[in-house]
Amino acid sequence: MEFFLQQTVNGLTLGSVYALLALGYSMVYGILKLLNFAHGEVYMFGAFAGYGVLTVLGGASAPLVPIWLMILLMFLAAIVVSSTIGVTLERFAYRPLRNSTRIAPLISAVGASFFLQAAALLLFTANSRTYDAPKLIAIQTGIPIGPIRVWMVRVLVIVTSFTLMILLTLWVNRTRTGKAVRAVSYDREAAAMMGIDVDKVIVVTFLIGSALAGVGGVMVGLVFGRVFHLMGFVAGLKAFTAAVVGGIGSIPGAMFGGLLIGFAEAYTTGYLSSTFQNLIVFGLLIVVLLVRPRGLFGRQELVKV
Amino acid sequence: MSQIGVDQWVEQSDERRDRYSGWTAPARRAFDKLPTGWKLAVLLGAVAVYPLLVPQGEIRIGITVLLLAMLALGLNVVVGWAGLLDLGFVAFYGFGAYFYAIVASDQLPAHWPTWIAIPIIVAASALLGALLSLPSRRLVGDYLAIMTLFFAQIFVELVRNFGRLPFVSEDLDLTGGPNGIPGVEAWDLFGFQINSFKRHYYLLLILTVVLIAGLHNLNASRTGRAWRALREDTLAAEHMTTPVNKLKLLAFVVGAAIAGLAGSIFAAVQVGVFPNNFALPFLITIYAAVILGGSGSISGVVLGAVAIGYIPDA
Amino acid sequence: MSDEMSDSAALLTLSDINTFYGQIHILQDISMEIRIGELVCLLGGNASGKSTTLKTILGIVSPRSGTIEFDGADVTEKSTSFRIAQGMAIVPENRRLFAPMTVLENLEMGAYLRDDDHSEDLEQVYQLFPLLADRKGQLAGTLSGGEQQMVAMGRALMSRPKLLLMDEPSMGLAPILVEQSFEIIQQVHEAGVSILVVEQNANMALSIADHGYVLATGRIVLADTAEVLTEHEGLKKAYLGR
Repeated sequence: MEFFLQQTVNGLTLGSVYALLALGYSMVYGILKLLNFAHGEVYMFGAFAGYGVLTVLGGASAPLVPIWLMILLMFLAAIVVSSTIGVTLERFAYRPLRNSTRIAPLISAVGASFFLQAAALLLFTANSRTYDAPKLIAIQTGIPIGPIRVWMVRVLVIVTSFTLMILLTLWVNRTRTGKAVRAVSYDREAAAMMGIDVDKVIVVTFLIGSALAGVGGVMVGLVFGRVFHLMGFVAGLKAFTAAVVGGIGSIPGAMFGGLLIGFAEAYTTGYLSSTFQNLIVFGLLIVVLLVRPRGLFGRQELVKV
Repeated sequence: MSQIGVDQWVEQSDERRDRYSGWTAPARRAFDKLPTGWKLAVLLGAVAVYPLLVPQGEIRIGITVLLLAMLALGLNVVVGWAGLLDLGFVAFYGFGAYFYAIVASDQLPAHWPTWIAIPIIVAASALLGALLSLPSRRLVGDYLAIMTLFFAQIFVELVRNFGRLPFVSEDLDLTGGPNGIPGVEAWDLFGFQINSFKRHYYLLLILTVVLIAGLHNLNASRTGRAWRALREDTLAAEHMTTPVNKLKLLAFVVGAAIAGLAGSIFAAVQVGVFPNNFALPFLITIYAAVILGGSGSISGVVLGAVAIGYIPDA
Repeated sequence: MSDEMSDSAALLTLSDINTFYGQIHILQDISMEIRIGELVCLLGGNASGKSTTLKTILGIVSPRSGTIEFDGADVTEKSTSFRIAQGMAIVPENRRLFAPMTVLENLEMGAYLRDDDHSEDLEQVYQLFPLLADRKGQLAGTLSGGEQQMVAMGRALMSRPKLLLMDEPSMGLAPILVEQSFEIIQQVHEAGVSILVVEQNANMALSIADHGYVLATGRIVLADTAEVLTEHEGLKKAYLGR
């Protein structure tokens, strides 16, 4: 029971990070029908931005500012860096191709992903860095839940993620811009006919999706410690899986998918072996697609005859 | 007033259309003006004497180009003709390569004769293609792309981590894990060893020419037309009683068989196979060749492969 | 009727518009005019360029040559949002509602560019279509065709437009609903909104229009008052089925 609970907390932690990342994939797909393969790299740069702030402010062992401020600044830096990269990608890698064939932006996305990986390799070298988070947030502090103790870092990650997801849901359902995002993702041309500035809405979508990815990057750094230039690839692929399993384009779907993938991975690692985790996750995707071709929350697209 | 009711749109549709797309379009339009016999003679002559004129090491580029051309031709069947966005294509290439490496090295050890190994590999690749086409009955557009992409990821994952079959034998590492399989043997066609760059080049050249001829006929056939109908409007094609599922299956099978064959040659050329040979970046290279050349056209994708194949080494 | 109209100023003027899709020449030297308070119809068959004309007016596609003047200003180079902010609104072909959004949200999207309070306009729309007030929380995709037409009209009216563009309002509606729909168009017109109706259903459109233009393969082949067009022999043969 204790072990199961521990794995559940692991799954919840991982899952909320995947969910944040999956939201970016899903929102961008919803609005552009584009699989933004560079999203994982946006997340990686967010993680490095957090690392940069941490290092500049004295590192985990001798922080120059209070811990809470440090963590806040790390998140802010990640949001700024990631959303800048995301918006730049949209402007230069995707917008020029918006009216070309379906496959061209896909290739451009993969190219952008490699480009960002190479850039990170040049900037940060191939060595992985560590946040040294246990020094930042004492490992002993935690909240007891039944027989186990949940570390503060994990509590922080889970609470922050869920707060962000709730805020995003409110934003999309209650605000004018949020509704415009939904309108554009349902029917871009009709939205333009209402006077909605589609380009602006797309930029906002990239901005929010990338900011969430940046936050996710810092979270992974805090929980798992290690950040490195290739971290975006596998995480990106997993988050992408989550988005697809949930039904790509659907915001609640991305959240649910993220958590599902997180749990699947945690239980596989816990009860089977970590060698199987990728296989199980990718297999899960194929099974879900075979049973529900548009994912769990996906809606039937209009077919124009 | 005479214009009312007359559909000039349809009448003028030919004038309004540009037949070629992609980067190579002007070159292809110019080439079109040559008489057919001349065209073939010019091309075949040039590529046949190429290895005689360049140093040994340079032939390697020719091999890369021809392999890429074969793959681009195969992918073109799936993507360019049938319009199925297959992002798992590179897995068939890997499958062919690994299959050949396993049956023609000290890995098992097995040393199958080439004339037995190759037909089996091609058939097995085709079968795998048929298998992958099954989900395509239900999945459309991007979802098919996603599914096939993950098929490719799983392939790499499998050869990298699951070479040791857990229930068969603990000692036997079928795929060699991250280290791959070294020491793959050369093709041996009834005593004739394909063991130099030059011989590989000519083998690939012959296969490519045969492939082009075969695909040319296929494209002109009823199946080719049906594929195009499928690509342009699956729904309409289905309503005109085109056997949509059979055609999708056939496209996947043809593409996979070609990729498997190319893979088995690649394994021999490289004298080994490694998981990273078949990862995402190479898939993008093949796609680049198809798109750059102009998806859908045989001559286009071959030209695209030539252009792309030269770049990394130049 | 056309005589008193000719006194009023032009609201929308297209001069020598040429629009291309890639290499394909769609609109050829289109010139037309809608005066303030007029109801104009643009007739034409499939692929005659009707929808492209609308998209050019709205700025969704830009013409290669020619000018578009709206409400006294040259808007040829302006964005769609600018034109809508200036007073254009459209009821698109097939209505194009945001199906996964509620009726109220759809109406709000119509007023997207307005920062001021639009509860009054919402009231007006509900007055015009009382049914929508009851259905405001329902998802637009679950409404019937006739109800969707009401939402689409209401959505366009939410921006308080000077010029209402209607793309094939009769498309996909039962005959009784077509008639209803045109009655509503007339009602809106009488309330002082200038309207451009693009239609294949020439009979219906001409019955409520002041002026009409006929498009064929991207050119305007006829332009006259609705009365004259209704009696035009060639048009009768080609469109009116008489």
